[in-house]
Amino acid sequence: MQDLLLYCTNGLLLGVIYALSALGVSLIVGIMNVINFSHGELYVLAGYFSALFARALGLPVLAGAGLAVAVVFLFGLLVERTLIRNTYGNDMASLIITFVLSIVLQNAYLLIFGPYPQKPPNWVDGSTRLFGLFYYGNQRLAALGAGAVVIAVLFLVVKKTWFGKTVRAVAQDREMAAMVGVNPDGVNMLSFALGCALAAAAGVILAPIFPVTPTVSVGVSLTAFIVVVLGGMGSLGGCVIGGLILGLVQNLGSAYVSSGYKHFFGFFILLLVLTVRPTGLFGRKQL
Amino acid sequence: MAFLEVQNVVKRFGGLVAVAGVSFEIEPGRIVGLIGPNGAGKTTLFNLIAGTFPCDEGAIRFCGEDLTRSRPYHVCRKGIARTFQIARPFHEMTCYENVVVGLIGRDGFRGETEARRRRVEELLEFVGLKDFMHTEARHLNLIQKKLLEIARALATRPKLVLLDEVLGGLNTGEILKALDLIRAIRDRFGVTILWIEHVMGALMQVVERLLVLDRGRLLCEGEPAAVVKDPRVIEAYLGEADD
Amino acid sequence: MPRRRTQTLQLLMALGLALFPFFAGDYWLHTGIICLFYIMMASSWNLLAGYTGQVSFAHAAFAGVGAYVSGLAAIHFHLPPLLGALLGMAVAAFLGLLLGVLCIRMGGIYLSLTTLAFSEMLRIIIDNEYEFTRGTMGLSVPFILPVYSKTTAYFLMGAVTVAVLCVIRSIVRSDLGTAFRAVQNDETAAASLGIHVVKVRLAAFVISSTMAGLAGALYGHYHQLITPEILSLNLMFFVLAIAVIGGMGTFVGPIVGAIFLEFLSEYIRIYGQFHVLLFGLIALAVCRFAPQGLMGLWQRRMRALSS
Repeated sequence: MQDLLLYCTNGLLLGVIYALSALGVSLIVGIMNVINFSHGELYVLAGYFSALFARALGLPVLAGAGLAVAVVFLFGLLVERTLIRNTYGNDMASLIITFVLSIVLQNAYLLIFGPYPQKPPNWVDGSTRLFGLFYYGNQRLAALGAGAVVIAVLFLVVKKTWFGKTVRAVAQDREMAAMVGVNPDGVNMLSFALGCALAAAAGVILAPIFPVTPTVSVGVSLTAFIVVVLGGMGSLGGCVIGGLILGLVQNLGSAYVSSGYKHFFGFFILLLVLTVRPTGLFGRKQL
Repeated sequence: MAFLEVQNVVKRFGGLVAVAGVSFEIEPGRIVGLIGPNGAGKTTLFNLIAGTFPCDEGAIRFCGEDLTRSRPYHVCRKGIARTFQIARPFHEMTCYENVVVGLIGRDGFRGETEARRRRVEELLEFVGLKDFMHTEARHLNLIQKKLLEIARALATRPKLVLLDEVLGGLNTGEILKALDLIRAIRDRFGVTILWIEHVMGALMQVVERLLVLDRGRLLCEGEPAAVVKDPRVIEAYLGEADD
Repeated sequence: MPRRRTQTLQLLMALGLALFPFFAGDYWLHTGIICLFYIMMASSWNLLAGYTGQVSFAHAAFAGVGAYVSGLAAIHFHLPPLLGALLGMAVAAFLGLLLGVLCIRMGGIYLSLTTLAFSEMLRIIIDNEYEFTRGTMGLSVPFILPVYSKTTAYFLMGAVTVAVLCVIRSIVRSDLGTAFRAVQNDETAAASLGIHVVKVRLAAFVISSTMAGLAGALYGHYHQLITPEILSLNLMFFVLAIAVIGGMGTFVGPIVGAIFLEFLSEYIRIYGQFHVLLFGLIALAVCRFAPQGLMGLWQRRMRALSS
């Protein structure tokens, strides 16, 4: 019982972060119909930056994290402008470009940051007794909280603000939105960068717990894709549910079946969903 | 047994009912016009007949066969070919290859033969694109792309061709040529034609029967001269002018 | 290009290919064999991605299937490697058919994601079932021929590569190839002309996967060691980069790309881990500034010269 609750708590934590990271992919798919294969690399980049800002520049750790997200956001703007913009309408081209970019970034990280894991300092220390059953790291609880807050803010932005309305309009009907005066290029650039920033947010939140290396990015990207497919391409609500499901399944699966097969369960879900219900659990394109 | 029989077909997109229970029959060898205000559901109806969208309700029969659930390639092999409202030639292939795709689709992968080469040349000559045989389709102008689509459709040896707006953007001389071509499609290839068109004056010169759609329903059908005088038709078009 | 000149060029290339082992040292011979493997991989991937527009990330995985099936058959059933390669090819074809039936209907992004998932699942299985596959340690398998000889291996690989290229060329020029391109250009229009889009795509996927299985099996037996590296995304990246840099959707592109990258990587080997990064950057630059690849640049130059 105690174990089960622990696994569920872990699953919940990972689920929230999976959801957060997948929201980045989903946003970009929904609006631009582009799958960002370098998603995981941006997560890792933010992890490195937050470690760098905190340790080398001596910034407070949260400020470092915020700065890291901002830097990745800018990087996203740059990537969209230089590489993605020319490929609109050609799904295959953007797929190939972002895949190549992911390999380039992985190898660049290896060169710059080395192969060894790096982590920013913990935000908080100590642990708390949960349900009167087990002690749980405060850093993990903080990560859970931070992830939930970022997701909530994102939903507010998409549902309530002018930017959100514009984005939803473009996702639904690009030509129509252009006719009523929305600049689709600007929206694309902004949403691509926002998608990258969400990957970065997931990165800075998880990096103190799971240190980053140049190659963890692959797992991060794949996990995000699984969640996006599970929840339905472009559906933000679906992402959250999908993330939670995947987090729980992975943790329970690796605890009770086999830890070597931890990621296998995710892929299995992906294949299953794609075969049985390719629109995902909640349909597609409902921003 | 009717040639083409459309029976009470319905198509919804979310909350929008694009085609709301349309029934009609077409006799073989006719040129039939399909008109209606914008958004009346004409192209959707084509897509239902061609199998591009599945019908939500109703049935479509062609030469005694039920095509209601058929996929587009199957509909084509049964003898219904189509063109698209916005021309969709294979842009990176030559005109010759574009027509070959139609032959392959109908007859299967049989390889290049002298007979096939002649057939392709004949079809391209018929629509007046023989000089562009080895030009890639993306280099063609709008009219030529439409003509290529017709040649390609004829390559599938259809019994019925669905033409979706052939005349848009043509000048008077070009329209006259196109009308001759459309008559020739029927006379030379013995193909029945169902034709969506907005250029009414030209349409009236060729069609022998007219179907009028409005808001997803069949408003009326019959002799062209009688149909255009029908008050309901006038009202539908006037209503459009008011919007 | 005039037919005569093309033929002369082909003859010269064949001659060069045939004479290569007699003036190349052991090391360059090895490079040549690896290059042949990449030519097979990139050309068969190009048949799928370049001609029908489906980006599969499982191509390296199918090479892995071929390699492991053939290797395991050789170890456990003492199957001669050449027969094993045929078996590996058959299993790759079968898995390709299964995966294709699962995901090809949806196409596009879904196909890419499904193949990626398949590829990673396979890697996880091979990593974890180390009692059977030796995991990351790698599986030692017999040499491709009864007697060890790099020169003979080179000729064998060369002959198979030429055979694979001939098959690809005849497919591209056949009606099936025309259907491939029609489906890539506009699948709705192709379907309206009686083309069974799903079947055509499936055919491309299965043919391409089969070729990858064959190439992988030969490669494994040549190396005498099969590791999960063969179905990693890294190998997939090389295959993709070769096709992109050479020019997707052209017959010669992947060949040029493979030769270019293989020999470039020999010259920049001194920079060690730089070379993947460099490939990546070249591939990005090509995607951005010359989407038709080296072949596209070449054709543009020829056209400019002739006009």
